[in-house]
Amino acid sequence: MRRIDEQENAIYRLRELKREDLQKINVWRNDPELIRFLGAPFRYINYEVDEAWFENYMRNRSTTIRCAITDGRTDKILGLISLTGVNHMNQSATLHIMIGDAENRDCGIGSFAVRGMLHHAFYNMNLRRVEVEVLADNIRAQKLYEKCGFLKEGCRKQAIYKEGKFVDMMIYGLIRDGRESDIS
Amino acid sequence: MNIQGKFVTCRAMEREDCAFVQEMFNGPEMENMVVGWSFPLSLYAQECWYEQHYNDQNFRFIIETKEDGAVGVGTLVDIDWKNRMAQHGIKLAKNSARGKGIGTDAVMAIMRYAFDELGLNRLNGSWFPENIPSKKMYMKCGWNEEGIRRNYVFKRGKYRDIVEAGILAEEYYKLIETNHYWE
Repeated sequence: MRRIDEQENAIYRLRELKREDLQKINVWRNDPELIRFLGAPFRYINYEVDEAWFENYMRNRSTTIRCAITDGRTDKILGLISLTGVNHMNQSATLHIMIGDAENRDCGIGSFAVRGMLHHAFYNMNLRRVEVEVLADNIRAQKLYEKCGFLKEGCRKQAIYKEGKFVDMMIYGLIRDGRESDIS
Repeated sequence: MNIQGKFVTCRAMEREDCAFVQEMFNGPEMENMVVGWSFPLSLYAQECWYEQHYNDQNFRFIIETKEDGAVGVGTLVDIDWKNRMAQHGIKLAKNSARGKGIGTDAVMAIMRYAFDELGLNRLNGSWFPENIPSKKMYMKCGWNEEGIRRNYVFKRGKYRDIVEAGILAEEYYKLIETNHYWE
């Protein structure tokens, strides 16, 4: 698989999250219209919380990988994609993604980022399994994961309390086996 | 989980083992046989080492048998999870413990643990070219000599070569299929 961000005129790139990105991240995490699509509950988050969150990431780089999804020309951050809970013995991790601004959704950014992160997980980090959880009513995200090769593995009934009601959480997983052509 | 061979057990080091380990590291014959080296080691220093390392991921096991009790130390250190490999070695303290297959059983058990439980792909080891018993034992356990580091360690007034050796998971699985070690 050729990495899109290795091309000279890449439209989008992945690079490690940096402190300067927190400004944007903090705005996004306070946006109910964005948080609506994600598993985490909406909370008011002041800037210090996000600074501490970033510091915590800096101390835990062996089990967490966080990348900004950026505009290839301007380096402007468009979203965040992460692998958390990297378990080196089981060779597994959990994927998380958010695209910050509504106008950037449905234009291939998520697909680019998920494929890029899977490539990194398998090709560089020697992981075997990546899993992701998604709200049952977030059909757009489920289509994206299916397009990227994830299989629906289960449904955690009423696992999340979201905007006044309990909702189901879908579990998707992807095993590297059989995808060797993707990593070479 | 303790690592069980046919008759050898590899278990975690206890504080009470410090004297045993200290004695082993202080023996001049032992130092002459192994690649590593140690200043004269006090019991206190060994206990401090134990305090610092009792819970890290550099596994140092006590090798014991029902008959002889603690007879040596086995290691699985520098575990490299991305490249799926680790450094391995054993030391057998008592002369009485040698030549009874204890080393072989311990190495087989540690390999099984490394490949079946930790999912490693490779183990690295090293010995002196003149240490024929070690070489024979590891060859019997499926290991291959892969190269010689020239003048690599300085002992008893001269530089000495060491042999770099290794075994792959696939070689281990082929070995137990042929020698039926665990059956």
